Amino acid sequence: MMRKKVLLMGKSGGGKTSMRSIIFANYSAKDTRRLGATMDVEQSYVRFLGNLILNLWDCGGQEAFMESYFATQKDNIFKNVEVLIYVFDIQSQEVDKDLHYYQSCLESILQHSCNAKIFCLIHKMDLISEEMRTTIFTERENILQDLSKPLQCSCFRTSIYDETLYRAWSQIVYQLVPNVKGLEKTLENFAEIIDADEILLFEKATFLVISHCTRKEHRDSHRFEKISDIIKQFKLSCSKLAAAFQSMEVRNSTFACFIELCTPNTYVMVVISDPTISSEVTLMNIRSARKVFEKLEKDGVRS
Amino acid sequence: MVNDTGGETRDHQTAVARPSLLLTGLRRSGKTSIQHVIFSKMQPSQTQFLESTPQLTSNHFSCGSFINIQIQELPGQLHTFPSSQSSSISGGNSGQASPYDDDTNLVGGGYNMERLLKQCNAVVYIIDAQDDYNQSIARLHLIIQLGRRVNPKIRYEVFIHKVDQLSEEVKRETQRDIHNQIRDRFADSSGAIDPWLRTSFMSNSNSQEILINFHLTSIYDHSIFEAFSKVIQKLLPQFGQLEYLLNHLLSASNIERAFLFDIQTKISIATDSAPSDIQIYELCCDMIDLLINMSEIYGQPNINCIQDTECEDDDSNNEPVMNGNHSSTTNSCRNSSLGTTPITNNPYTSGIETTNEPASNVFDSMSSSIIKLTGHRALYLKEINHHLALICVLRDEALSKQAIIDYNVEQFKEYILKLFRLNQENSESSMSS
Repeated sequence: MMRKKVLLMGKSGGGKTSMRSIIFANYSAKDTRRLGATMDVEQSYVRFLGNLILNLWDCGGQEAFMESYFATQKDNIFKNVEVLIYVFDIQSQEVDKDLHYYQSCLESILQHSCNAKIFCLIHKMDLISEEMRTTIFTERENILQDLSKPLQCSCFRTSIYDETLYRAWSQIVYQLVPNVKGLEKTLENFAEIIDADEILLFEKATFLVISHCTRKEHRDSHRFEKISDIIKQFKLSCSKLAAAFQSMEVRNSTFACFIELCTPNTYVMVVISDPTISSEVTLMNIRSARKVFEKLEKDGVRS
Repeated sequence: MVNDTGGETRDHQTAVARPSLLLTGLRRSGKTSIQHVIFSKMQPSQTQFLESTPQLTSNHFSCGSFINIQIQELPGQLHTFPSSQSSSISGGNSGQASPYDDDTNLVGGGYNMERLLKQCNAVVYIIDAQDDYNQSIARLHLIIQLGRRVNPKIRYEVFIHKVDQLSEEVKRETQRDIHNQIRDRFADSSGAIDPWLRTSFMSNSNSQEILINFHLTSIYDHSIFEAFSKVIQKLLPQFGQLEYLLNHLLSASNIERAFLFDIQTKISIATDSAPSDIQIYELCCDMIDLLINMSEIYGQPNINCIQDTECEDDDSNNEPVMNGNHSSTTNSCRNSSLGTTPITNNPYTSGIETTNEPASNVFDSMSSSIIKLTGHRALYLKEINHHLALICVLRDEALSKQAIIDYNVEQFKEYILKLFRLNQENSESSMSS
């Protein structure tokens, strides 16, 4: 069992718990309204890819707690961190204060976990009018990248009301997936053999894209997160009927798309646009590929 | 097909050929919002910005011109005059003052309520459950009285609306209360429970009874779609045949449930005869969303090969989402994610037309989907025409004989198309004769 520690920090009311609940606990965006303020540090263990345990530290953002993190709890919190996720509420009126806390986090990280990957999520972007979004985001991104030196941070703009949330978290967990390069190579081989346009690999519970192979150019660069969103929504609907989906096939005259269980912890999505290839053939191929992926997953965990 | 006109009046034929529905209720009860949410795919939260509808509006639900249902929305604040031939509306209360809203905006003369009721097959009456509904029930009572005289075949569908905030108990209480109040009013006017009033779900065209059905609805969930589906299903002249065909499909293919859905509005225009289940209905709606959303990403028609659909100039709206503009497939309320066909939407003129154009350019003749769920259930979707899809719920063992199901569904599709085409021809010829 591999444990990786992920710190989720940021000011109170910024949206950390909501995000976490949607990605890992099958909440819908509407459900998150029920959530109250997080007290101190809420630790949760999320099983990811079967053998990976994400130790999520959702740090309550109220001032009293923030102060204590940098004082008494510093060692405890900032040691052994693989990933730091810092959430900025774009509507915040105290931008300087936010940046100040962020800097304190970075200092502690530098001290205790200098190899941690850093992600900054500029959150609640749905509250900004569409035309302004890119400008505001780029502005903030530049500030943060400057502030973070010598450490590097990756910035994303997010909202729980659209697929941008999945994009950011997909990138985050991608950093945590063991043997991700091996996975990609295998996907490439697989795609070649079955003549697929595109193959995506999802983590089963969160439906975040952890790997992909694209053989045919596609004009929509945001499709991965949209697909995560679409499928997650459908999963939520199924759960109302106390059911879960196991596999699906969607087609029209120009494409066929298959989503099947790959390993016990991942789903694979195969997109084929050659209409002469029958469903049966593709499904058979996916079944055969399972053993390869399962072995890969086991090896990845061991190493 | 011989057009048999013997014995039938022309009015009845027209009514059969073009069933009509009168949508009414007090002001602000939610009539226009309902139409917009269902037919223009407006987000429910946006409906609060809709203005009051000042005049009678007429919409057509045509599902690609195979079906032809007219929906007339009669605004709540209009002063409607009863026909001058009747001196009083309710027999024993000639001295009563008009119970209509007095703060009306009289718009160039009233509408002849009698004529409207004569022409329609069903009255959908919206009661705002969050408001004091006494006046609403009084209005309904008058409408039923009038309707009973001029057109006893009308069925009344009462939507107890805006129930999304209420708990289950309160919903039931409200429904019971409204039901009782209506019954009491009929009792009042003649001293005893009116023998003509029968609130039931059974249709019995030989009796003199008035049929009133109640539905608990809200635009914030699927209940409004389900309720509207039930109303539309009963209005379809081919309803019996469709149900028969679907039942037949069920037994021949070993499937459990089958529905015919209009892709655009997610109204189910026909189901098999099993009792309705809103959860399955919702799941089917979600399956349609899934199919269309995935098709929009990967299934755009090839620009080089031109498909033989009647796709006209609505492609400009169907550009896949690019460069960060995320609104067309996923959106904030996620009630419906279709946004592809532009529908002329002007509530002040001829209303909303679901036209002959395909519902979505990614929903084509080969659109289909199979989703396997835990619990040995599966969903099966097949395109019927460019607006309709057949959705079946079956056990996954039945899917092992998929070839049989595919064949049966093909046959079913042919029958349905023939059925609608015949109906179209009939109605066209009867209209012109």
